Amino acid sequence: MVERKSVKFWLFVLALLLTVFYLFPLVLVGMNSLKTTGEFTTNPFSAPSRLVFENYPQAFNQMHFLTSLCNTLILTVTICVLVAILGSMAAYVVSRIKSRFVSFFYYMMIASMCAPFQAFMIPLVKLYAAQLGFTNSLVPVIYIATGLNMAFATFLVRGFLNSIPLEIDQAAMIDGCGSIRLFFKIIMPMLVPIEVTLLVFVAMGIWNDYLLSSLFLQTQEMRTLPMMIRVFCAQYSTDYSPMMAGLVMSIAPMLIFYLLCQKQILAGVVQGSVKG
Amino acid sequence: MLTRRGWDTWKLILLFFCPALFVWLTAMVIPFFYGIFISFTKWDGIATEYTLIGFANYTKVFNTSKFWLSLQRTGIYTIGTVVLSNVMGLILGLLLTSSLKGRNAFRTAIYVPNVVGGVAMGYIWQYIFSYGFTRIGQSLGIPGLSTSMLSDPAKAMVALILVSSWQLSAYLMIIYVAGFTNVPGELVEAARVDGATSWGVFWNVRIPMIRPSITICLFLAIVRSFMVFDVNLSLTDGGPFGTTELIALRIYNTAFVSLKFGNAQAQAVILFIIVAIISVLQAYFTQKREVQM
Repeated sequence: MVERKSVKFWLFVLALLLTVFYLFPLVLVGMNSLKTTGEFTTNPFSAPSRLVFENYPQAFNQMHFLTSLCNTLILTVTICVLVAILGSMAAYVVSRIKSRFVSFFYYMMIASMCAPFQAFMIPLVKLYAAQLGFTNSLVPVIYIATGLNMAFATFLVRGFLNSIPLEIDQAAMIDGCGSIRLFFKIIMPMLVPIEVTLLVFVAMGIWNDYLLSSLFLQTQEMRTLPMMIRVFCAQYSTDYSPMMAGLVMSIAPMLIFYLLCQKQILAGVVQGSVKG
Repeated sequence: MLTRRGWDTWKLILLFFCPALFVWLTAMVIPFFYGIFISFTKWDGIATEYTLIGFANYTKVFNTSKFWLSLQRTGIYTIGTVVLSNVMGLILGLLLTSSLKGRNAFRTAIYVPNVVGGVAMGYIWQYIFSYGFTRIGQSLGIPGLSTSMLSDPAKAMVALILVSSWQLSAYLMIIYVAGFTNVPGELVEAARVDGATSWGVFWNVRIPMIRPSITICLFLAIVRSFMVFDVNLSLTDGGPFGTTELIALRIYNTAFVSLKFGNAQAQAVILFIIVAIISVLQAYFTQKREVQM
């Protein structure tokens, strides 16, 4: 028994060391954001000798932090709402209606989930920016991201819908409830758990997306947080401490979100892993 | 049995299914086929007119050593990342399903790198490689570390693999944790009673039981590595001297830096075919090797 206890102790130490390994880069960034650039270059690993908060307002202004934060928020919220509503409606049809038309396109959608974004990147720019004239606008980003997430949303919600008994639909229909009202009043409220998983998953992807946004958004007023990090880190490449502050500020919102919804996020990883 | 029929069915399909279908078609399917068309044209991205040039882009891509080098590098990167991230993920998964105090807190903390986007992650590690590790190298007198890993081609690739595996392994950990949690405790107990060693239990009971998770994680890592872009862009930006330019970044640079859109799209189609083959293999293995319960 004594031996088992010591094994447990060493396992705990191992887990602790691994946690340090996985967290130290973020801790370093946080620590260095509170130093002067001079101290950063001479002593990158030590705790700050004197807390310097000036980096934050400086980075906040240089990055146009509020603008990028707003743009990222608008994108994330709009795309999440669209994906959740349209995806759930489509999933309802796939789950409840036997139709060759529906199942054909449903399987095509599933197959499309594995396609790399690079296969669409250039034609998307050509179609939406060059031909439809959507340049420097959030609209094409919202539309395209909704389309790219649609298959996953339909797939995820359909799995959940299949576990909701058909008798519920039938009971409502016998009572004279139309299909549309049935979906929004009765089915939709039952979907809440899976919608949370879906939204958390989609939101993390959109929040951290760099490539798609960078294709359609050019000016500084339109920048998202990941784009801003890129521009900021390339532009002020010698002023390290404000850069650290900028990185902290850009990471912080998602980190808070994660700590609040970690259960759903970790559950979403398992369910979303089938996406590949 | 009450079912919808006729008009009611089609009304529902039209109102509920077709909006999603339309967005998907216009954002994925039409661009995809249009992309195949672009790969047969010569287009600089500015001119409105196309010149159809048949397979010229493809023959050119196949005859460009840079393309093959990039593909080869992507292969090396993929092998390194898949092995490292899965070994680490497996160890973490096993460790954090053992009877350990505060294992949920450990899971939450270790997953954190995945919350941070690839671009930010790349920059953070760039500073650690350029300023952190060089400091350690200089003060301890380790010659291999005293200059930045990112300025040496081979070491830059190692750095890229390390950073990617560091992030991905924490992601895979969650899937492995779910896998190990689903292994019935009686099975492990039975093996122990029959005198199996810890290693025996791990290798002969746990590993076979989590085969579906292993398949998922392996393919997830392969596909992700083949398509990696953000970390590549922000950590090394393909450097030094383009020696870490992986295929996705190369497609991006060919299109938006060199403005050879037709050529870039031909490479994108090739990448698509590679990923599609991997996905078909995944579907095959998932069906074949699933442990029957």
